[in-house]
Amino acid sequence: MTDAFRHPSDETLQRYASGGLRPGLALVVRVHLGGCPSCRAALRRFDAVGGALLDELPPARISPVLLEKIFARIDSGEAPQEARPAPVFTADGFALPAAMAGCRIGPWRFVHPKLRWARVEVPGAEADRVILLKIAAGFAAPAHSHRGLELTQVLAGGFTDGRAQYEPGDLIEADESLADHEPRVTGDEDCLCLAAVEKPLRIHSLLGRLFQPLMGI
Amino acid sequence: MTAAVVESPTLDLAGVLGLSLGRRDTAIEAKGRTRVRARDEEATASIARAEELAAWMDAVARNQDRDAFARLHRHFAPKLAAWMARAGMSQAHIEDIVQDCMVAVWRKAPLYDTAHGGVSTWIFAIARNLRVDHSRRKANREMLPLNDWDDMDDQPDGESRLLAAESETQVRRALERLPQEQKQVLIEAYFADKPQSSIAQGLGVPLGTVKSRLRLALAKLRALLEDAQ
Repeated sequence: MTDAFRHPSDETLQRYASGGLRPGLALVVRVHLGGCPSCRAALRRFDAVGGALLDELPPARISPVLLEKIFARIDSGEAPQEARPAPVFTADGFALPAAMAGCRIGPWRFVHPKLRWARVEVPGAEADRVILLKIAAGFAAPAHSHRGLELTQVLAGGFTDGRAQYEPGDLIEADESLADHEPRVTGDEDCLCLAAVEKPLRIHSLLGRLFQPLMGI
Repeated sequence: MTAAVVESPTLDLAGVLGLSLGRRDTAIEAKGRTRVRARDEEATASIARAEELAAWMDAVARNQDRDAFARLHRHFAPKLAAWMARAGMSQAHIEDIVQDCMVAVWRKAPLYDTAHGGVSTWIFAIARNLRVDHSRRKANREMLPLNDWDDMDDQPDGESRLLAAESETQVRRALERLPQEQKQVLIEAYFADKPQSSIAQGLGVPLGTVKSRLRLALAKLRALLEDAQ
């Protein structure tokens, strides 16, 4: 099926470029970008659009002494902040992408013998709804529909939802317009996904929303 | 007058803008041409400015030229402040971010590579990262590296270096080709930290209209810029 389902939409990349995407959703996009040259090229285009639009913004008033303050900081030789190299870390035997460095992974919980999940805490955005999902081979999640934006990045294994076959590196974007989403794990390997949802939901209701029929909520 | 006498670049642009030059309504045609010409001039001015900014940036990167840096500051600081104000930040935070951004521009100047895109693109990405960083400042921000634009970029070769300068020009031309109402929604999407429903309310149009204008604008930019790459 079409390639369009495997990447973030233009709307999502534009929100990422502007810095307006919630950190949880942005994390999933960043993991995807780490392995997708075509989306990195698209992001550069959106950055270029942002730069050109920034150039055209009507200026706001700034303090006349701001430039002096900036030169004072430059001359003070205060050390530039270097980003630490991202350590490689694993969760349940899986190596996680570098973009997830700094995230805290909570304990694994079972909702079904073939379905486990762990909470992912994004530094500074602990309330964002991000989870790792580990789904055993052969498992089909019951059909569910969406409220708000949901981004799912395949980290290992693969699954299909009737629209397309997803492999590691693919990002599946779902929202209200996608009904009866029924993912089914394909192949012999367990499937590991990183998923984030936009709507502010309690963790219980997040699961309820993802696997509503299964949970009987 | 008919479409045939309009010089070809204008005609091409008019076609893209969806102006109907086939109609025998000279008043509309004349108005349309003036609008097209005015926007074409805007694009040209914008490209000229981009080249000027690149020259200043080059002087900062090579010679630590403070006059050139002051000119960059005069150009960008008020625009960055305007962005952060639209994104709903307080006056104190706006000044912090603008300061952080311009200090980063000075420090990272030697790393600036025209192959990565124009100066505005580079500064936009730095400010965007600072904006994201600021929104979760209470946490240990060193833990999550946000300089993805620097790190994750594919290493450009000689050919893409030329293409980058070319695409900077293409972006500005492409933006001028968007219908005004689409561009307006695009600007809101970039710089205002508010949901589409609030954007719709502000413009006095239905939510669906905002969504479709944004989708059209992004699709058109992709079509125009993918060809250009």
